[in-house]
Amino acid sequence: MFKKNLGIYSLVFVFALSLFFLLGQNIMVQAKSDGEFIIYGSGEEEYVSVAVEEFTKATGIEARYLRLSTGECFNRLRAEKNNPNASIWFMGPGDVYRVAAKEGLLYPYISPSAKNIDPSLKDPKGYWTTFVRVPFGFVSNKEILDKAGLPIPTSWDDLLDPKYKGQVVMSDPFTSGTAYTILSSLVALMGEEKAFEYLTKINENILQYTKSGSAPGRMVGNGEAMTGLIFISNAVQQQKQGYPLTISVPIEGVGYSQELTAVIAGAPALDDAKAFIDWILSTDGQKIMQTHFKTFIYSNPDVPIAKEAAETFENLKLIDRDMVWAADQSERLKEKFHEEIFMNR
Amino acid sequence: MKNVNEINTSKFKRVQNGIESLFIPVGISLMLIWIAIFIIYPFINMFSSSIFVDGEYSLKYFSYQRSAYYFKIFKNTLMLGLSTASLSTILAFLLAFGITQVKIKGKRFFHFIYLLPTITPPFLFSLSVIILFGRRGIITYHLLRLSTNIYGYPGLVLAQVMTFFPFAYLLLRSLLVNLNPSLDEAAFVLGANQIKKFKTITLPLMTHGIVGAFVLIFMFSIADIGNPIILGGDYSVWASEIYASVVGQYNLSLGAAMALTLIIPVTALFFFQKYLENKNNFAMITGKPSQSKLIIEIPKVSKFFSIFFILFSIFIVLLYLMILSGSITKLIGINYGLTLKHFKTIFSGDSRGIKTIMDTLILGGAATILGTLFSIILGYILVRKENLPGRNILDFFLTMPLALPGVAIGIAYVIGFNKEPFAWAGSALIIIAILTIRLIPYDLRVIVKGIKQIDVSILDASYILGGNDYKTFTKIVAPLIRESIIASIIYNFTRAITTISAVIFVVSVNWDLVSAAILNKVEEGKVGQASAYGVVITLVAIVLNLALINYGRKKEIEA
Repeated sequence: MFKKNLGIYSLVFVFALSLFFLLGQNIMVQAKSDGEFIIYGSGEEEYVSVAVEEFTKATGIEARYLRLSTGECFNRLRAEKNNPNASIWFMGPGDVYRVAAKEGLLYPYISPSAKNIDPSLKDPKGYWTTFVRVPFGFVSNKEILDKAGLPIPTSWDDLLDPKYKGQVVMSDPFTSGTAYTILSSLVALMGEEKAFEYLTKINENILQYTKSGSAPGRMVGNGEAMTGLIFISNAVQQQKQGYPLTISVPIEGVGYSQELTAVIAGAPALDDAKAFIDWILSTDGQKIMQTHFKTFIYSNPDVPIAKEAAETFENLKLIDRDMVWAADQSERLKEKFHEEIFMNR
Repeated sequence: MKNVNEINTSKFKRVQNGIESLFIPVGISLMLIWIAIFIIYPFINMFSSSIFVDGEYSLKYFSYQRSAYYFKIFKNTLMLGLSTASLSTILAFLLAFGITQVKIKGKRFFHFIYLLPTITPPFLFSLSVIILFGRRGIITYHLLRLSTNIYGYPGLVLAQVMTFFPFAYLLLRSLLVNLNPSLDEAAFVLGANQIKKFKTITLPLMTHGIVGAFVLIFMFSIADIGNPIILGGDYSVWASEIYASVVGQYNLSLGAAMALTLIIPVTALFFFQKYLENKNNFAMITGKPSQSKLIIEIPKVSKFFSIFFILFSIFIVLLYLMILSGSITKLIGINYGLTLKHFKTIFSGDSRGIKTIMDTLILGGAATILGTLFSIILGYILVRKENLPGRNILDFFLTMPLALPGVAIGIAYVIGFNKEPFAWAGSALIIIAILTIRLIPYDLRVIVKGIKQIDVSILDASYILGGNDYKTFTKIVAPLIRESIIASIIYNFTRAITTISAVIFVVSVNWDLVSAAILNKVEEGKVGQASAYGVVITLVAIVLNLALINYGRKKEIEA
């Protein structure tokens, strides 16, 4: 049977291969159907899918989303510059948005919903606006802390206690955006010299600098370390998985990631895109999002911190960190971190 | 071929031959288009993007790597590669030697167990290692009350050896099986004892094979990203650093420069290994494996190997048990309550689980079919058309993707297929292409070997009797190499559904792969779901492998 059919197989093969090449061309054409409203989301899948779902529920506007990592999304915007598929870029850290705006990839839109939003949280020309701020914090394994006779840490200095030796986990600034947020916030809080002194001291207690930003949560949850540094929103998700994590914040202040949103230049569905920005920045929109994600700090001042997060955020003090400065210093600080901290392990 | 056509007087036959004679030209041109777009283009592109910074020529990203930090990770990479390769080769040699030369019971069972790790999705062994030997590990903490740090070098070596040893085992086993038994017999007749025979005959004949296995595993180790991402800790290695530069820094140019740096030594090693393999073929295969193979029957030796095999098998099974229990407990390490919720989440309607598994099977299936068919036709052309101009260059380009570390290919694809005229990133096309180019080199070797075993006179007879290339190919070559075809299908499918390094950058929301989904789930701390994916895909792979092997056996009996 095999013998007889082989001739047919070969023909099918040639046919399939040609089809395959045609298919490649087709995919791009097909993606650009007339003015379809597509959103590129760089936040975690869950954030993006919920936002799109709730937006459609509230406005009746249909939207399709694609979840891409920040870097991937940025590269794609560049690639599609002359012929963009998507109309909205949703979430992702501030520094990348600035570069995108500079390169002409974003469309300036000042939404009426943004008028109460603090000027430091939006671009004066409207290229981007902050959707939420996501603070990081300490996650601890209470059981192990108790055994060691340590309280839940509430200050940066708490982590310097020798009892923490080999018990603190944070991610590596070189490989994780979370870790750079932590590093640059420390520099903003203490000044560069003091910050590096601090990092040198805590280096003794660090078990490991993980590759991924969320790994410390998993490790602390497993009891492999006492305390880790991660974004609080990630910690909450891991708590939901069943990891025994206690969240706390240092009284001196913590840094945060500024998650933005913007209209893409040349948006095929400009009106829908504007409607999305209007909704996601509005009090109603952000209140709805808050029912899903309680540990974000929403940009609209009319949306107070959620009741459920109030206890965690009681001592929350956000470190003022200039995004432009942080982006400019990024390469230098990371290298310094490597040379002075990482290499001295 | 002209002569052949003249013999055919029937008009119908001539027309048919007209179409069929297109077989070779069409095959060659498709192959050229394929190589140009999917192999040459992305690499030229990657090269240029690493030396042009903002449109200007600069070696910034290469000079960057001269810092102490990169020297350190280079050293780490080397250390890890050497350790993993040595341990894997020693282990694999022991296993292969025991299986082929020593009298023990249950060989088929042990063989099956040793091959199991080839179908493990990435990351999962790493997770098992953490669960068993981590600070809170079941063995290290709960059993032995130790507080160990498994992250970094020790854990990585352990996980890599367990992941890669089967490849060395397969290689060494096939050499041992093919050792000419008449040498053994001669030694026996001449009065050499078993140990002397091993020292003077078996080992020297195996040298090339052992070096080959070592180089192969070394290459696997330094190209591996799955284990270092999870288990690496502070012990950074080159490949995982490349991954991080793209995902954490959005710096494709740095990633490209780092990938290019890795390409040179790895390619050199690859061709060294290929050279050894060729050399080996002459040295060893002198006849068919004979029935009257001499097998070591010293009770002490048998006992040693039996115990060793049993212990090692238990260890492999233990690693799998950890994956299985991860999938059916609420949260392994913390809450051992039994649950089916992870499977339910994956298979529930609104999750992406079913889609991810289906995508994996569809894309893996497509790549399997494409890769196999491609290789059959290419193999035929490469073997039969020896005077084809540029034949060696073609062979080189087709083999290259196997030599390159997966991350390098991934980066080349991200850079190359994110812009016009080939803005295909995120499409099924790209994922299938990246899987296929990685499969073709292996398939090609298997199939070329198969074709070469066909007696040339049969093919010549076909030409003389009026068969053209197409007829000779379909009626004679293809049926005769059925076994090679089945072998390459099995390999393709298994690789396609478990690979991670090359595809991690090209998966998208439209098309997802299980291996990438497992990484995401691990990152989110959803170890249960990650394990459940692993269990599902391992089962699918086992079932498909067994089905194909059985199919092959059945056909053999029929024929």
